[in-house]
Amino acid sequence: MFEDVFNLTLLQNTIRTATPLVLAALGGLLTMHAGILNIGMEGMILIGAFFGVLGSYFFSSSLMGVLLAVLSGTLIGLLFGVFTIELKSDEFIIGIAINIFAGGLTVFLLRSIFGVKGAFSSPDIMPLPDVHLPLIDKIPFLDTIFNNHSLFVYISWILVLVVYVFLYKTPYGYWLRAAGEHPESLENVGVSPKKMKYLSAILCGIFCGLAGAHLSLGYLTLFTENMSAGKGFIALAAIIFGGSNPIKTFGAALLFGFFDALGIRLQGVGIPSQFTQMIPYLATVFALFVVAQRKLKLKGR
Amino acid sequence: MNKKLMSILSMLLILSMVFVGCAKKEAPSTDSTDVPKDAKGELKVSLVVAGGLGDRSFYDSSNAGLEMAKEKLGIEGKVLECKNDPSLYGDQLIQASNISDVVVVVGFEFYDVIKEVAQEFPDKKYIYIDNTVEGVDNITCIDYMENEGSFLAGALAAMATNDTNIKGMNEEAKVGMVGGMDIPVVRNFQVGYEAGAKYVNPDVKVETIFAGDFEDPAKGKESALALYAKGVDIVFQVAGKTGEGVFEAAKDVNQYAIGVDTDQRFINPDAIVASMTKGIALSIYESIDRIQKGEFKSGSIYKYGINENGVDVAFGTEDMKQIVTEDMIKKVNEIKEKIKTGEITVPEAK
Repeated sequence: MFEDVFNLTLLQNTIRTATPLVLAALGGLLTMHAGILNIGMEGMILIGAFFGVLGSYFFSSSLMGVLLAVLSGTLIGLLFGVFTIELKSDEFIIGIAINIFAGGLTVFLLRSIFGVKGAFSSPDIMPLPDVHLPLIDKIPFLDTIFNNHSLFVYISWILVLVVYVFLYKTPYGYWLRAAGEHPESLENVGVSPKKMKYLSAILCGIFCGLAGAHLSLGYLTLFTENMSAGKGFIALAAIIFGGSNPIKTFGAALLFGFFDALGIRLQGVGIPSQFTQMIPYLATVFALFVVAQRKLKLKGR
Repeated sequence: MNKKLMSILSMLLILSMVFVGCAKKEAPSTDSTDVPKDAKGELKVSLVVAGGLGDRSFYDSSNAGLEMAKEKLGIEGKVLECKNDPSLYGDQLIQASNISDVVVVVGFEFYDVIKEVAQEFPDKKYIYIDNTVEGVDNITCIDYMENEGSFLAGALAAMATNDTNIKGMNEEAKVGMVGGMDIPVVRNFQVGYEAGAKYVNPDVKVETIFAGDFEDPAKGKESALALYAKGVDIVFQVAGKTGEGVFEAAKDVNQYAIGVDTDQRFINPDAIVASMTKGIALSIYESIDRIQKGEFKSGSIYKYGINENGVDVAFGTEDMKQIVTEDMIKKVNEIKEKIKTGEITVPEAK
């Protein structure tokens, strides 16, 4: 019974479930550093997912799908930026607006372009390729866990490092963080905090677009209404849990993915679904509790 | 001066909006007593669905029933969607009651609100699909015997999983099911499915996972993959849009799935071997027909089982290559006859 749940494929599932979270969270943590709390990631993912399918279907190429998803992400990120940075609107309201807008827009376009409601799948949607790493397939242990994932799984790992280097090792990263922490001092050295905030918003849109494209072209090969299904919010939780640090956020996303995968598997050994569906959320509450405790202790010193 | 004028005008505009809003709210209490029929005297029917159209399954087939009635019976039909937003259930029902004579309510989720609303509009007829409510005179329930249809699906799955001639079937006698949520209706599917599988082969193992969501294909795929990884080679999906993910999983691992509610083979004829269908369209059409003919028994429960053509197993259209053998289809039909004659009694969980 124990082996049925805790085996290597559980870790494989974890990676698969976590990847959309990782990609979206990487974008969200950039806006977080720039001092914007973006709760519109859910909608941005959904839009990315839709345009991914659109591009892949019409151009018969998954690359075009990704490009279109990135483009739509750029636009929606820019829109988010204009409202929160230029017009100084409340970021919560804009976030909610983007989520609702994305739901409506994708349903509308789904109907007017594909003539269907609810779900669209077709053999003409080109999926993103799976990657087979030639070296590690000799080692069964690594092969099961790390091999034959969709392309974006590996790209997301690289992006974690890229974002880390960008944030902590390049001047742009310093400026971006300064724009959130202390915009006045950034202005003193002659860099516009506004520009850095725009940069973060657009990058966030792009990352969420990638997350969406991964969801609709890598993970699945279809689009359904509201297919982001709360992933934007879980990504936000991962950002908070990981303290906006790319590496830690990556860890948090993996943890959420792990508990999600665990929940599904525990049903297989006869634990009622009402309980197993609780596990990811219980784990989240517990994790946030631990984080808060540690913070309190640090403050106490 | 100009500014003052503008502010007065805008105040008036706002006030008028407020009054318009009030007028609408009062409308139900006055309208509810007389039946609104237009000049031609056509029966007005509203279809209220808990989710949204486009699931290529449950809700779409209810709409097909309405469309059929529109075409053949000359009624006037309208669809109101709640998009799985519980705060809309009541409002949409009230709105439907205001604009029509017959309200077809689709989804177990309306369990609470339908009783309240139906009592407020005593001269409207309510047809409640997919759940049963007793003791309200103007609510008529359509109860599908999913267990009977699932029995056939289970029997088919158990036959197919042992046939290693079909590419991709392994030797283990394990069949699976992915349910949307752990609710009575889905449990009823499960009980029938399990009984059907065990009827064919008492040693078969049936594994069920509830995804906990009817709208998350990613979770559906993950659940199905977990089943396939355990040696299950055919999965019955009872999960709405979540089920689209089950089909994806079947395609990815080159194994098989069974669709639900409507004939879903068209989605992927290479992975979906058959579908257990619910005659939702038929039952809605027949109910409206009965109302028009005056034969409708309000306040009762109409059962739709195999006998009433309410549930069945469909194998796609003729141009699709069959994955299951002729022999299996024949056997399924034999079991169907046995259920009709009462030789087999299917357990239920509702």
